[in-house]
Amino acid sequence: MYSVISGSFIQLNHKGETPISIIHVENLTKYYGQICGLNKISFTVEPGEIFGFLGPNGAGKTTAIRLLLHLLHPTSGNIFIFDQNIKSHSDSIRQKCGYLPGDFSVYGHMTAGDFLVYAARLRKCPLSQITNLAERFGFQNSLSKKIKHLSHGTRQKLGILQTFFHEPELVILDEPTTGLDPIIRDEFYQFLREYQSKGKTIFFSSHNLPEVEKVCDRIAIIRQGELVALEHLENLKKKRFRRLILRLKHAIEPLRLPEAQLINHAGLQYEFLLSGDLTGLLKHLASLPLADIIFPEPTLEEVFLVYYKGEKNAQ
Amino acid sequence: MLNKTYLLLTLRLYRGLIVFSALFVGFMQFLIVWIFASFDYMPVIEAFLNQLPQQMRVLFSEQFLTYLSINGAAAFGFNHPLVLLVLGLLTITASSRQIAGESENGILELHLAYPIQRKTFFITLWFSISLMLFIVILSGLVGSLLSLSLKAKLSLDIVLPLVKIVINLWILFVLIMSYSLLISSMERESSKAGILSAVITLLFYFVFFLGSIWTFLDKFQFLNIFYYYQPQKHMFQQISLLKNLSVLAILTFICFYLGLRQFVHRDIP
Repeated sequence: MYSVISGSFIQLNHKGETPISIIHVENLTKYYGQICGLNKISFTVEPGEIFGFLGPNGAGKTTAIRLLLHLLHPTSGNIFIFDQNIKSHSDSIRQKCGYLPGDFSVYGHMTAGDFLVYAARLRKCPLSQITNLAERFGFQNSLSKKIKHLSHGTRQKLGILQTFFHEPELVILDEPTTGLDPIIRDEFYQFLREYQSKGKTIFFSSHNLPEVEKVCDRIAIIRQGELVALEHLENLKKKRFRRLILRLKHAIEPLRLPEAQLINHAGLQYEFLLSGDLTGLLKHLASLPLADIIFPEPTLEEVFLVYYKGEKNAQ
Repeated sequence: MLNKTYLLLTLRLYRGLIVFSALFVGFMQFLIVWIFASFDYMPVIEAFLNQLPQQMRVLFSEQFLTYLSINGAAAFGFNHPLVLLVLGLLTITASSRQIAGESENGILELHLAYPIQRKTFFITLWFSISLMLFIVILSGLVGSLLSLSLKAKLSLDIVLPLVKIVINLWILFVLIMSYSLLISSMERESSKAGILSAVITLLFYFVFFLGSIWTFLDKFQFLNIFYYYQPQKHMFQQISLLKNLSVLAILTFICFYLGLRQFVHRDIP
């Protein structure tokens, strides 16, 4: 059963009600012996949204995903998916989920087509969607090939096909664009938007900030097993620091810019960290003898710095 | 309780090894029975024994000579080290690769993200490897019966003990598979799980072998799984099949239960 919310079809929960959340995580903690994988993280994923889960490698993203799928058992905390506890309803929940692991690997000697037939049988689903999806991602010619003969990118496309063919209500993607060429990557982002418009929910894990900004509505940032931030994309962009690299024709000492902090200086090149309103800065730049001006993409570490700085100020 | 799709997949994954093992065991049985049915070797062996000094001759009991009969040969085939090796290879390879191996290469993670219960997964795997072993051991029986019928030596006196041997051998390897699956459920690397299972099995085998020449060990043989599989004794009605099956089945159940429990509660990978 479905209800219509904001023009999207949302599947009703097991009680026939509109689900309050698709994923609800409470104080989720996972220890591997003495090592902390996740520390008391809590968040909620709303129906029909693309939820970005951003963090550097080793931050705990995959651990969180494996806990969501009940592949790992939590040390403490609770996970509710479709308003059901994962501990007691993991099979019915997984029936409505699609999952693309970060390192997608399957039986190499099988053909891609045989693997998809196998996946469809395990899910007890028809394969009708496969043809359309295969066409969209240019996979038709690879269906008859053995998986071990496919390139990394083509294998990733197979992973995408097996994730979406049964039209799951919730899709969990762990670094899904690894190995995809830029054209297919853009096609994939477009596909995710279309999939979202059908009322489906997507949990998108990545270590790539620009990628998450392209597709996600809300973003959780995780670092060293802790949730650093949970923001709407617009808020994140407002808070975000930018880097600015200036190359001057001749030296100016001391070079000071409004709303900017000098972080690096070598010869005629100056690197600043920017924040706040840029109007004053742009006026000031016009008066400088500029040889070049660059706005590089901020790294994840820089984004984390913003949040840590915010936390310290709050304290 | 069983997942047919996964069952068919595992049979497909090991079809090469199943066919090779079945052909090997079947051909081995056929050849051994054929050789013993083709030649009248008893006068040759008796003449050889008569030439030995008295002290050496006593080492070869009458029982030894009965084991050299066609019945003894049929039983010996099912106890041949090469046959046990091939069966062990199939058992340990499938058990260690399907859980520890797939956990290592990430396939298990994908598998268990599908709507298949862990309990169902484990039981299906256990059943599937049992079925593989049954096919291979059955081909040994077919090989023996084919050879006996071609030599016109087929009789109920030999067929019934052979069936008992086949059942006993199958249960023995189901036990080996059950503890291999238990080890595999605890490990994260296929090679470690495989080596550990192989070492335990070889240890049992060599201790049992040493027991036959070292009387001190003989007292403890009842603790060895190979003590509950002695095909020559089945052939000459010197052992109870029921007793063997009871002991092996209880051990199998314990290993199966512990393996299932471990698999259900383990973290993937």
